[in-house]
Amino acid sequence: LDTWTIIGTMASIFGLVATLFTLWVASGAKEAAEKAKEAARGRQLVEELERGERRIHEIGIFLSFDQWVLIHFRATELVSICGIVVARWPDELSVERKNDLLKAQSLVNSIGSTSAMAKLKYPTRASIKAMASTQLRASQLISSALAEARSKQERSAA
Amino acid sequence: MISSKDILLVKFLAEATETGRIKWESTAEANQFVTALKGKYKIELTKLGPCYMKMVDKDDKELLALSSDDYGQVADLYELARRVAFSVDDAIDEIVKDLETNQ
Repeated sequence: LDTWTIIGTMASIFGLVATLFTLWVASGAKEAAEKAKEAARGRQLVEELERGERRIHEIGIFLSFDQWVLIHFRATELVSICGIVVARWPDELSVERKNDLLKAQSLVNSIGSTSAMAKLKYPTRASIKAMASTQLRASQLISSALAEARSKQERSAA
Repeated sequence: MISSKDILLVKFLAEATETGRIKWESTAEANQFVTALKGKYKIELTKLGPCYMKMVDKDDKELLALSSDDYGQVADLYELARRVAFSVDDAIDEIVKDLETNQ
């Protein structure tokens, strides 16, 4: 009977150890999965902001060729990108960078509105100059948000 | 009708603009300046005869619209924002400093 008691006790202890080990492995796997999910979110944010940066550069190119329809098209897309980033990644960017993106959204929106009017009436030299300087400032604001997102992604990858 | 909260907001914006806590940007549209706060709200100031102030959230839902006809300080805020966006005070400082050193 004693032998069976010892064997039973040992089996219980082994079972307990196996359970604890399984829990430890599972919690590690959960943590790794959460880290991977967070890294994927950070990567998606960077990709979305890179898309935004490409769009603002394209607006600059189209401005130099007076391509009002294309400017309007790209501006509409970029206004949407800025809005999506602020809404979808509220915790990944600082308040300052989110403010930058919201300002960039308004600046790009004004470029879009002005270019939409250009189809009806060719813009004045002053208006084109205002669009060009607005495009540059919007580009700076988007780049600052992208820099922060990249920096955060690099830190989390390290 | 303008509320006491609206007045508080205009006063806060004017003070924060004067102390440099809020940076305004001029847009591609004439006489229009924008800023953003708390990563959620945008303030737009436009001069079309009277000055207008509009506050929208990040989904572009209009939360507040005021004009200088409702509350005269909106026009003062517009002028402050214009000075900040175009760095008017910096330009004046530069000119005055230059004149002082040449005397």
